[in-house]
Amino acid sequence: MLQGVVSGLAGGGTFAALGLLLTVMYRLTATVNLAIAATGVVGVYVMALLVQAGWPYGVAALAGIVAGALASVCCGLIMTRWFATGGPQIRTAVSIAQLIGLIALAYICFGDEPRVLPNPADGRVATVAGVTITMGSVILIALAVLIGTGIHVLLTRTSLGLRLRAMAERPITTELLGIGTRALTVTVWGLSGALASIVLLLVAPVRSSDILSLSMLIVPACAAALVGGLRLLSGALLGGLGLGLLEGALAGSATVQQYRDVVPFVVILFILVWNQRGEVWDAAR
Amino acid sequence: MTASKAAVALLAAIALTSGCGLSEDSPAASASGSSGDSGTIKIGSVNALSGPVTFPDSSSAAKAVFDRVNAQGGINGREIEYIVTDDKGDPAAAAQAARDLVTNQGVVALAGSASLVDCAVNAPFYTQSGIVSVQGTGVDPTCFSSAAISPVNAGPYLNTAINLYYASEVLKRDKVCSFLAILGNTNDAYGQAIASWTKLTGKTPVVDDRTVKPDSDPTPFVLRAKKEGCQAVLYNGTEPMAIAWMKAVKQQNITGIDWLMTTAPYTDAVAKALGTDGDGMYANAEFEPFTQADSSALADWRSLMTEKNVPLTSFGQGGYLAATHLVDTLRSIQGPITRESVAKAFKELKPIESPLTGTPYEFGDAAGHMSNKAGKIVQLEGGQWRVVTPDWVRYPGTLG
Repeated sequence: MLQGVVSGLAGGGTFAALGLLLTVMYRLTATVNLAIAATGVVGVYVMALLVQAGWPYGVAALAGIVAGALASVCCGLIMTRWFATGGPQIRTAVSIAQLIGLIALAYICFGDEPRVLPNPADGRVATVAGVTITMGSVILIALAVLIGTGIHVLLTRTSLGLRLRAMAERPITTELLGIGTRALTVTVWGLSGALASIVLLLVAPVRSSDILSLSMLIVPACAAALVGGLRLLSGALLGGLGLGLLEGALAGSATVQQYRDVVPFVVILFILVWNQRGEVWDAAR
Repeated sequence: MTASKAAVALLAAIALTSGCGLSEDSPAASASGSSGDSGTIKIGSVNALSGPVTFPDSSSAAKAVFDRVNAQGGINGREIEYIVTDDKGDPAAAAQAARDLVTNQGVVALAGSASLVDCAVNAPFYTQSGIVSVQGTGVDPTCFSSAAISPVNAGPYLNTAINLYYASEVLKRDKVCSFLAILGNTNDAYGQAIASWTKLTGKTPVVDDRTVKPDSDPTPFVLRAKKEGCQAVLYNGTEPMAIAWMKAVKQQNITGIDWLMTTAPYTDAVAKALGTDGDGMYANAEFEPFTQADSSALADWRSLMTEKNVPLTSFGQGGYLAATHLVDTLRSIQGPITRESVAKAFKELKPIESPLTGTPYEFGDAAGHMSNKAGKIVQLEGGQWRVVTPDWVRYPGTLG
């Protein structure tokens, strides 16, 4: 049991980091950006191409992060240009289209051949319950915590955060107050793309690295974000970590492992229902 | 209410009968159109050429074979026209492609198809149309259980059985475990493979885990293999899955377990992507291992593929073999080459030996075909594949 839990650390860090990005993007751009992992995939494959062409890893990874950011900026521009006034539902639907589009484009550009993906953090940190904890897992979890706290501080303690929040909640009022929102929004998209690329650069070398599998990391990330109701950063962080640990624990147990894929969603469903019990009650009255 | 229901039923019946009429008449009509002694001999294939998983090499290799036959004067003076279609990994597109080939183009047979969906979607249609398919790469269980289809490859299920057999009987490992990713309708076929091995050897897998998903983190699974004391582990992952698996093994510093993969990860790309991280990983080559540069069995295949710029892969071997078997069979036909005469020739086919496979290719009128029942085991060492079993590992049991 403990072995399974420890082995789920890397997955937990991944889900938490991506879940946090989803939450932040929802709070700041009112979009459930389902294409966020796919933009990270662009970063990974650009890095792989450059490494193959003989670039040193550091430079290639940096170029990959920039490419991921640019892909995300493109998605953001489409969103702000044509769907700025659409509600969250419409923008989320558009992001599904962007996800499918990115996957299709990635297959056309990069093909389906496995790539050489250097692992920037494959050192071993410790051995707990017979499981080797890698540098990658530690960095992923640290990155998730850093993203969470960093964004929390940014939003609550800085004037930029104040403007970002204003822009998300009352975009038109903010513009009338003379604050340009378009550039800010696109910057948020770009930064998320860059962060997603960093996460995926750490994840891709140790998971199934085909375009579809990596892009679909968005599903557990969504589940993590839902634990926080797409608003609470702490919820997304704990949700992601919990989901990873649960996945690991269930894979290691012979009796429940066939229900492994179902359990996390049952848990999330329960949390959602529990969280909304007051609202449902109020609405019913 | 009843009246309108009856009307709907009547309409449906009319639509059905007219549909059936079309699909039954047209193939025969167009078949006779392209048959006889003149014009080209049309051969078709349905392939995954675009989409998430692509197999372009099989049909390219088959085309290379047909082009060479044409350059040498064709079959009794008639050229082969090879029509390659793309199913995009989409069942609807696969159905459309097969109907276009058989009904509109009037192909006399299919050869070198490599697809994930072709067999499952089109097998009943091929049987109904009286056409045969010499599949280059069969993956779906239907490829091996249809009277109209006989793949040249061993397929993942027999591959699994051979690997289990190799682990328990050749490597003499007592604790053999299997970790399987079950995609689509493959669960029963894998179950049959394991049951067949159990029947043959009297052994059962210590772990039979079928819950691996393509996007799973393999770490908990490799740890489970270690915890359960597995000495040999069979895994059916595709290229990226096998890479992730071996990297997890390396990360967790697990030693003393033999890792056996199916044919899928036996590629140059996997060797390159894994490098020394893959040291010791076995795979099961279902044809004469293509990475052996000096193999005399591969001389013709290698020179033809190099000449026509087709990548040297296992899929290319399948396409080459399928096309070669078809050409040999076409040459043996006395009289006009039509869909009927080609089907008849395959139904009466005597097993064809080939240096590329361990067992002869068969068609015949069985309800299902799985004639390639051997593999050569290869192992990764320092980012290079080397052949471990110079002789074929032939599977003595039967599946299903």
